[in-house]
Amino acid sequence: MFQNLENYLDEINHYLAVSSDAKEILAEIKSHILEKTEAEYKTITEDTVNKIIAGYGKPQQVAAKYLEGFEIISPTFKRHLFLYTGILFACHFGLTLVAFLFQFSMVGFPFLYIPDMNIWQFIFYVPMAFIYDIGLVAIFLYLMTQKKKEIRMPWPRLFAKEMKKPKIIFMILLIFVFFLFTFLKFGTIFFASMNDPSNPTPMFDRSASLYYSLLFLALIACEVIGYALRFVNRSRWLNLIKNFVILILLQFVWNSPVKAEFVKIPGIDLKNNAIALVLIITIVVAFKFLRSLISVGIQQFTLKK
Amino acid sequence: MEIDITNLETEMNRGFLQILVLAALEQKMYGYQMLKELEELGYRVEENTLYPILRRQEKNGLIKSEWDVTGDRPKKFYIITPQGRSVRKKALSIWNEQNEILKKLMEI
Repeated sequence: MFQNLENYLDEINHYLAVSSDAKEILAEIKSHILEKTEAEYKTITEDTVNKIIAGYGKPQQVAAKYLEGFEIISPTFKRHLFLYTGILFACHFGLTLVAFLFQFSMVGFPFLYIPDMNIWQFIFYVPMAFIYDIGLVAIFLYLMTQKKKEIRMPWPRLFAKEMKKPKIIFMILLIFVFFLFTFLKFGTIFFASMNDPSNPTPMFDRSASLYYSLLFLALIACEVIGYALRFVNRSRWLNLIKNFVILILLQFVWNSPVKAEFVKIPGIDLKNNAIALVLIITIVVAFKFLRSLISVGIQQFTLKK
Repeated sequence: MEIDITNLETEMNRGFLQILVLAALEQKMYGYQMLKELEELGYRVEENTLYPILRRQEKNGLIKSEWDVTGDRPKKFYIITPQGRSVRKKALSIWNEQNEILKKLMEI
């Protein structure tokens, strides 16, 4: 047999790997090439076979003609690939950031494992997470394509809504002014008892009061600035940055260098109550951060296209 | 400057070749033989285009094939099926209608 013909068929076979009837296709191509060689050159040699092979086309192009209609991912899902990857990566990145800031790991077997990381591990983890996410979405869309049914994939608009006007800014501003005034007057915004309004009992010692009060004032100030900026720019990035900064501030609450000494009040566990309150705030902010991240992702992947 | 219509020609040939194959296979033929017959009629088709079409039409039940191993080397012969004849009839009818529409438009 002619080695050049065998090599040529092997090459075509390589690209036909997904076809169930590759053997039959190759037999037919082989038969055709030999038939044509004999018809045109009267003799079948390595040289004459080579000439016919050259006219038949490159192996990849030949195989591609047999594979028409066997798309791995339907062209109608192209936009979904980018959008879903954007949403998934936004969630993944958000959770990774929260896990990194608050120093814990997360497991959602078999799809998610976010380890407790240092800054370098975090930097290396993020691009890897993106590649993982795009792969996961691609597998999902591949399976949908192979089903060959008319499937209308959801196109989420929930997070893509227009940003509303900042109606509650004055309320938040009022809260900020109130707390600022309180802080300036008493040196803290956290109190264990208000029985004597002119001399309330602080929740914890002086250094902790100063540290946590300043952090929470900064947190409320972020909200005020975030809302105020919406009057001049309603970009979704603004929300994202605001929520990110607040998450960073909350991280300083959880990983505080100041050890708070809580005052003792019979029947009330001030420390646990404070932890519960901060936990609720963190969850709400983390959710808002994720939502704004998804919103920005959708804007980047869809509205510009 | 001459305008390149290769892409347009390829698109037009795609449908035409489907009908042509169904018309040619009224008699039993193998691939190379069909290429030669069409060439004699003035229609040149790439071999790597014809064979995938034959395979798809066979999968759709429009033609059937069998290997003949009696000669020097095996050859795969094709022939139209009753379903293929029915499809050919409909395809020709569509093609004629399209031709009529085009003629009317060109007259205007």
